[in-house]
Amino acid sequence: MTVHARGYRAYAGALGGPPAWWVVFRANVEALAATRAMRVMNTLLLLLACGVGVLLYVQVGLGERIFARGMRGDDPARLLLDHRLALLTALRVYYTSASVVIVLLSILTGAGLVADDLRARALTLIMVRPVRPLDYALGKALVMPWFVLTRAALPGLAMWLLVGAWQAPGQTQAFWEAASDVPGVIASFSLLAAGAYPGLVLLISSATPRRGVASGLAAAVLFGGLVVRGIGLHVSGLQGEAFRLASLSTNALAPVLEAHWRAREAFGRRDWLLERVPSIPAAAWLAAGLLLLGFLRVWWRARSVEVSE
Amino acid sequence: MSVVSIRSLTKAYGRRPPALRNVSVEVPEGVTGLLGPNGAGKSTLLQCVLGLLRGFEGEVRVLGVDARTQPREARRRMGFMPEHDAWMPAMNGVQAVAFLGRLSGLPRNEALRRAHDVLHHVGLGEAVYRPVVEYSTGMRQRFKLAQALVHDPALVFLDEPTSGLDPAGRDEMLALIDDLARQHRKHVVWSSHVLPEVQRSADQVVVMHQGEVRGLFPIKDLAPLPGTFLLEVEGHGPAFADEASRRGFTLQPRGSEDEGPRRSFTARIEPARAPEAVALLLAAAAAGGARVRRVEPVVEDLESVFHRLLSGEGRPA
Repeated sequence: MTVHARGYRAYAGALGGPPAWWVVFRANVEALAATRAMRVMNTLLLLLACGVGVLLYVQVGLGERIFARGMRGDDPARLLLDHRLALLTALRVYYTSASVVIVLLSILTGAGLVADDLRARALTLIMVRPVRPLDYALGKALVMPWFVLTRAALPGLAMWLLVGAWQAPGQTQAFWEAASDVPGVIASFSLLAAGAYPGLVLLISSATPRRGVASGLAAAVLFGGLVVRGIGLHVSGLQGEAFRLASLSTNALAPVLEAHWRAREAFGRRDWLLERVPSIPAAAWLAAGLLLLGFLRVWWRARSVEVSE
Repeated sequence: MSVVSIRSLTKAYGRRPPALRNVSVEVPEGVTGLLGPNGAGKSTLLQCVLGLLRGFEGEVRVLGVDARTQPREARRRMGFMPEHDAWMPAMNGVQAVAFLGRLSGLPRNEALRRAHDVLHHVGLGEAVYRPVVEYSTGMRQRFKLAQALVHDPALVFLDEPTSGLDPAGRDEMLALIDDLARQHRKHVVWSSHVLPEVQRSADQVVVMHQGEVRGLFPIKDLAPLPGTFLLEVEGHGPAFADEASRRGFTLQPRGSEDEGPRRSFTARIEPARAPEAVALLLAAAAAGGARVRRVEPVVEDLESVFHRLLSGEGRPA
């Protein structure tokens, strides 16, 4: 028999540690963060946020000092409303573009979340340990929402804070009060996106052991939803409303679009968007339902694991 | 003390005949072979012991812990090596074993340290940083053994641990199992279809068939076959066989011809004629240009006992 330098040792310490769902969650976050696709997406989102931030600074900080004050006069209330609109416009631009990246992120990385475990039969190795199916499902179900939440909420909140910081001396607090609804808008977008995409992706990922099939299905559903929504724009009534809910990316954008529309309305500007935006409560129910379904599907998969062929 | 205690265990899937019927068995300490043909109920039994199946009747205790009411506590004390291929996607060997160790309750740093140790122990020291998906079949078997040991369980279940291994790999795996049991005092329950391997390494055997336990007996209880002897000679084996047959013996060769200069045969010898027979065989060896190295009674092999138990003929003599 081969003798190895680092041999087997008895372990005298206690077995315990953090909850199993946290171990599953953390290991998956670390593994996904190390993938090339995730690095590319992170870079894209960072560049996007920086680009929008620079434009916002030009409009609110630098531009304000050069042009707007002279044109508008010194009405501070008007100035705050103007800056609030600029912030919401920037958020709309960022979230509309980020949605595309987040959809790609979900398709390229999230689709393998459970599918890869099924292909590798890793569930057998996991479930023969002191792990409940609930732990596995919860750990998996939180991975994509965490990625989406951080990439949606943090840049938005940073913009809100920065616009406040770029105000004239003494106006920072006043701006944050005038735009106190914006963090809620950011949270709404983030939660809707963090529920809907990951829920759908979990549902699909746990249905097949083939990552390619899972990615293809996720892409078909996410992009197919846009087509169905397009049809829904020409259909009235409840049926049209249901069709318009098919696009998860537009659903997530609904709070941002609505807040932006209302901010424009304060300046007497109108556009066609509000009537076409899906109902936010319906979008929230859909997102929550998808996440719950995805979670239950993964839980069921973990519960039905078999140790032998 | 028994490491696994099963009482009146019955498990049925739907309306099909029960996969396990009123199974009661006390698995003692040491290495236990779990034998049975396909469909005997071994996998269902393992699922019940691992606490992965609910809805069964009876009681299953693992190292004193009720596997039904405290499945996680029971699983904390045991390790399991599945038969089928299994790995952790997107992780290298040490990451995968450390992650599974964390799930078993090891602290983070200890999990990483022990992952290195067990991977070295099973002979994967050079491949700890390679993705598991790139491992060969033999390396994956070793990886599966390492992950079963990472949290230092008192009891290890091995499902066909030598499956897919070449002869050298089988020998190394058997040596690892021996080492676990003898040096590290682990209790091993080993499900296998390769009976000679089980006979070589196990202390006792549980035989299952059609959802029932047909027998549990220590390997040392395998009885000598009356009147059957093993002869081991060195030199010209075929010439010795010819000379022996001229003297009235029918020799059956055993083993392969790749075993070097020594050849083994079995011969039927009437116990009453044993002294005379030995003298005749020594003469045959001298005439055939061979030397007799060993003459000993042949012990009944596990395979014949196994088949006898399956046919319902009872325990070994």
